[in-house]
Amino acid sequence: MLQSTFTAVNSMKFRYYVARRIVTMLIVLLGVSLITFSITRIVPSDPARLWAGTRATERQIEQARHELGLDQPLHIQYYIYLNDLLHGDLGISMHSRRPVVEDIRDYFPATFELTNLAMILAVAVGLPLGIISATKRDTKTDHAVRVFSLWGVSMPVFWLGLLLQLLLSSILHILPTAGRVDPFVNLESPLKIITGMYTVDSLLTGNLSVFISTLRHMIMPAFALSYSSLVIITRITRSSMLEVLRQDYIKTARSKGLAERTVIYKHALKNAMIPTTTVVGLTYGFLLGGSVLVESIFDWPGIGLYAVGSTLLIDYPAIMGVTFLLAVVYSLVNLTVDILYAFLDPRIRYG
Amino acid sequence: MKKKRLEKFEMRRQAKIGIAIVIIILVGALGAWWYYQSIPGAPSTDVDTLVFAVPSDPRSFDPAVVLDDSMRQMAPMYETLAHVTPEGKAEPRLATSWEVSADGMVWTFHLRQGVKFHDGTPFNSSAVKFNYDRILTINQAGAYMLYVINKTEIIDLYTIRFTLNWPTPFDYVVGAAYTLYMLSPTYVLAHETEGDLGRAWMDDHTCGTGAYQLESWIHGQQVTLKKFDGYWGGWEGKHVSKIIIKVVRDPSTAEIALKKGELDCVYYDLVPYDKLAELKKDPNLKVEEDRSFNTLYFRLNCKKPPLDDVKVRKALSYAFPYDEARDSIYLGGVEQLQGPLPFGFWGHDDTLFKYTYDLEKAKQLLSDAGHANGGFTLTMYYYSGVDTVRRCVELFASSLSKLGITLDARAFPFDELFPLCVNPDTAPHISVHNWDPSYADPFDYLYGMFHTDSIGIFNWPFYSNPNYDSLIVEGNGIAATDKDTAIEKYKQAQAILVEDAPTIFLFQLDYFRISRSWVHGWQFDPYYQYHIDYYHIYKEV
Repeated sequence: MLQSTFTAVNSMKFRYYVARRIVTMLIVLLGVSLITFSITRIVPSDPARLWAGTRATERQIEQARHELGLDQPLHIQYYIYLNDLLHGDLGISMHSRRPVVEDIRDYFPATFELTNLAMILAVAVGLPLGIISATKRDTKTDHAVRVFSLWGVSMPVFWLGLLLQLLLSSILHILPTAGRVDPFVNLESPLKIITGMYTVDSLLTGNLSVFISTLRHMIMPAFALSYSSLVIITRITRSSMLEVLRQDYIKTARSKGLAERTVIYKHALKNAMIPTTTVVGLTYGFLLGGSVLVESIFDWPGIGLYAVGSTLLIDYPAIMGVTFLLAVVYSLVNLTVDILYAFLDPRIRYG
Repeated sequence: MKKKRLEKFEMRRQAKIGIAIVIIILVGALGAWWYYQSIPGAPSTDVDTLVFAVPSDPRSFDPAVVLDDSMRQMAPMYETLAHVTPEGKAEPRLATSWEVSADGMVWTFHLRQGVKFHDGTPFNSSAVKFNYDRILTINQAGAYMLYVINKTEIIDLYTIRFTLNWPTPFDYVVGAAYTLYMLSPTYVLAHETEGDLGRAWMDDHTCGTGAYQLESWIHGQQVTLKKFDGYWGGWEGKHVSKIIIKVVRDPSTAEIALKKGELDCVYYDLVPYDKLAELKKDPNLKVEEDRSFNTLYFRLNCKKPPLDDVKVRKALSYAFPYDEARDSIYLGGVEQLQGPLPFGFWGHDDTLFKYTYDLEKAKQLLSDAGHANGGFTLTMYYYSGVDTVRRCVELFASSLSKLGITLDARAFPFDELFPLCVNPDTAPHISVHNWDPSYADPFDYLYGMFHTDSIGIFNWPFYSNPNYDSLIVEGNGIAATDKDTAIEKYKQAQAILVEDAPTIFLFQLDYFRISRSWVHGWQFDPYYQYHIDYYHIYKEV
């Protein structure tokens, strides 16, 4: 398979495929920037006044308007906005008075770290469950898995979070209630922040106590976050496996005398993975947008909290910054998924 | 045959692998857990560190711009010249004594000696001048409190003299709970960029005279403070040396963490009223209640018909179910206001008329005003995010409907609410407002909310009564030298407000201190809810 992948990647068709995807992505991002910009200019509220403060005089408000560039015609404002964007300047948050990029640098790594763990859980549990469910179709195991999946789809994430907190923290005292790390552990051996992801930074600096404390704090929110993705992956894997197992080439493989394990893992799974990859990509992109509910309950200061907070405070630069960031993240994830397709299914390369 | 045996072998092998994986995970988890247990981490009963939960992250640590709940994290680092007791007496803090001239216009302050800022700079009169000038230049937050200063003179290292534009009890002003804090001039100037007076730097850094210093601020999570060894107040007696102010957003999380002992204290607005009864019963917790000077009002727009008719405004004052709101929404944690000033505040008049819930009187007044059976709609704007306020508005709406009045109520975040309510074109009939005194003086309430000059700021009713205006200004003029006469004038002014009814005086709120039973000394500042006196808090199991 590696050999064929190698030749595939080097083929013109593949490169053309990737290039087309990238161009599409850039057009989408441009569109997002235009829409976000327009919406924030249409909403009836005066950002200059909000910036100047509650006791500002008319002159101070006019000065703020000029500082924020709001007295320019709209298309000039958009041009300035786009120009800043290309230079990585997302503006200054009206609430924190810091560059939005700095705010995002504080909040996004937390979400990134949590989402990664959630997705690992979702795939590590969801995928095998889906396979088992498909191969043991209509048995008690299958039914158990399907009930489990139904719970996942029906349960509100904040309720699950609260239940976990109640059970594991309050009643059983196994896990801490909320936060990213135990403040006392952090006082004993303070964590040096490099990437903003506590797990990575603690490993990089050899701070084992913080690493373990962070993991303990991450388990519940990651699980709560992963549950719905987990079950979607289970269901999709199950149905696409069932679809594939019905195919003629599977019958052929079996009749050739191949072990069942080889049939399932080597032949069926690879093809069944395509819809699953789509789902994993979509949910990963979605989860990277943060979940304000999970973040509130577990005091996980992620991008979800920041986005909702900024919206409630009508903090235009922050809102536009976060929206654009999430659009970029989502587009990149989808691009990666599209490229992965090409590896999984050669037919798509030529599509 | 062979295939079946092969398959069974395969399955058993798979099962073995599965079990092996599960065992490895369990052993790993157990190992991690055991390792974690052996790590020294102070238990929450560590008497040296206080863990305090608040619902939001600060915006800034610069006192010159902080007007909101950022005070909770900012205030421990800074001090003002004086400090006002709940009874209304101004006591020494960074100033040890002061004199005022007979006409109340010239104030001379003697400053405390031997006080150092966190960076070692000595505190003296030039520091005071520097800070007040800085506050006025930045001109945000409570800078308006210093507009009264005409001239500042440094008499000597520890004596400073203020000449005012008009007579006012200036000792209350310098004892204000926000803005007028002392920052180290050397520190601020050392971190100045482009003449900004250190504005950008002081957002995340502190240098004051207070008992605690900023150790770290992890945005969105927590602020850690550590004690300042050189604090002039000294460290005799019981104190905590570290304070972790954690951001906890969800009330249920706060409750669980408090019960587990992960938190020592919880800020009251993280606990809904109906939870208080349950928490009071818990032997590990302490729930203490105090009356505050925080007040809630429904402001009535005197320029917008039909509320331009005082009879209609009075009718509305009779139409709010005060007792029902107090009992069902606040569960007894409030008291109905008697006039605009809260109980316990100096200048409050115990004999003032108090409106009651009386629909018959309301109907009578409406009919006198020519609106028998109501028949009109009123718009009402209130600030979002506070559940109890919303419920008060809903209660009011249902009561008004009994009078044939429809209430069109809408919620806005405060930042949006403010510009709508100060603009006569967009202002609604009724707005909801809540007041904390800037400084310990009835003038703060009476002027800030009802004087003609306050239109465009917090005189949302657009109330303008020259009689009233001159009365309170006179009162303020002699308050420093003849408090009793000032009080008389304030009482007359309050009576005018009750009669003119530009506002429905709703409630005075109680504040609750919720903590573990090992927390002691948590005193309460009724003037400003965000001002927490950490220095006197200690833990003793």
